[in-house]
Amino acid sequence: MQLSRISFAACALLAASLHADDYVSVQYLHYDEADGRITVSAPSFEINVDFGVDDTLNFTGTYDAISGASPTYYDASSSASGIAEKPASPGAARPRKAPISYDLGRGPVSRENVAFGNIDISERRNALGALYTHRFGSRDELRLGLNWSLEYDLYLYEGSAEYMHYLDPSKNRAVTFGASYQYHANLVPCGPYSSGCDASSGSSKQIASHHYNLQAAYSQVLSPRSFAKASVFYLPETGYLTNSYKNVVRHYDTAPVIVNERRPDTRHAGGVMLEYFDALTPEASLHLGYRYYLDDWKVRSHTPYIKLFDRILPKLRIEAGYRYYVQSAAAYFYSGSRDTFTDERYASSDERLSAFNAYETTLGATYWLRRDLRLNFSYSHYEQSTRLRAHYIVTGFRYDF
Amino acid sequence: MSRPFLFLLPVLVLSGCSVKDVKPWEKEDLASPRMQRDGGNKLMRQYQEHIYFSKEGTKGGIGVAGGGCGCN
Repeated sequence: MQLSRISFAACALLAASLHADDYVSVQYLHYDEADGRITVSAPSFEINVDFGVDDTLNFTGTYDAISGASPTYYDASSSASGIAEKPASPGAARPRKAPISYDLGRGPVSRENVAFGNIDISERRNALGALYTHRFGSRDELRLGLNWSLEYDLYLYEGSAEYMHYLDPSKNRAVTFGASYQYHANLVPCGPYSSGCDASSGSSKQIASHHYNLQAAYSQVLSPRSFAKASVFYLPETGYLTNSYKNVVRHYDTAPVIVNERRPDTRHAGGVMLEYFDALTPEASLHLGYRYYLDDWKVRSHTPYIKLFDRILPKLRIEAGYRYYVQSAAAYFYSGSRDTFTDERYASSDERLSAFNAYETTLGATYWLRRDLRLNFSYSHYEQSTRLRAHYIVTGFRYDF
Repeated sequence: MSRPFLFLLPVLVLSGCSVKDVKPWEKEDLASPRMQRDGGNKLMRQYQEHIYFSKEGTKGGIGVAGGGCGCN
């Protein structure tokens, strides 16, 4: 009798786990930074279709509309450079971000005209992704992915493969190995980096960069309500890794000149990710995570996070999250009231390469209108010690068919 | 102690843990979407990863298949 009960329960669970997970999800992101910086509107869709119990196709698409301003050094006396002093007037037509020949230098700039402020940005991005999952008889999984992301100044192509292998008959332990490759075609203003095109004409040239991601993970079911996962990753990059829209000031004390920043053409990064998932109650769960990162630009970061999900009503699930981030500066980054670079090979004033910390808090809710239709809304606040403050909302629906 | 070994240490420690052998019919909670990293909303995770990538100097650790956020 006991055996038959167990068999029935097992079959019921198996049937539940094998039911088709076909759905379409539509989400909308509105991201807004304080002080008139970046605003992003990004509608997205996701379609997931199961073909039997062994194969799944997942498609995603995003359209990003980015506008606003981003800080960098500029020549305050220049009105023809396409650079606008902060703040850009509200409602004014913003020029489309165009390749500006920062790295031409345009000759000496008087010290009083060296300024740090926001330049206007207007950008569009279209991104598509496809992921195919195949489950073998052992329930091991093979995942193959393709991604495209197209912008005015960047074409991105990505291919990825990942294999998950169960180590025991109960499927409580698994290892995952994955690799991906991204090819970037960067549109770079002609200058020192782009021999072969006319730097004096202000034209641009495509320069490639190559980005790899190798990852291995081990996951372990700890109890009927908890499991943990540990991952190691290695991220080598080569090619044009400079940000063509970020400037530095060289020779500020003698003959200041504003030029494009310059970063090394290689970067080797790695790290470890530890995650723990616990179903605290039949309705609530806890996620804990921590990532450690380091690279040969001398950047280190620590990222702990916590998430809570709780279905407080039969049709309502709430979620809350907190993420903390702290990083050290890249070896060639200089942070000061004015850059003091002279003839150093590498130089950057990009605050993303500075030493800073950040935190993010998120509150969200998902409401099931029907068994096959749910609505979601979340609000997040993100703040850095660099004075960057942002908030964003994500809202949308998912329909199971 | 070399850095590669430091990375592998958590994996080795975890693999050595003595844990209960959980049977398939005991995994209902583990299979719930609320036990996924994104809570069952992949697009939300992609948005967040893109924001982190755009505003911070480091990345990685979230897997490779599907390409994450398609960040640049």
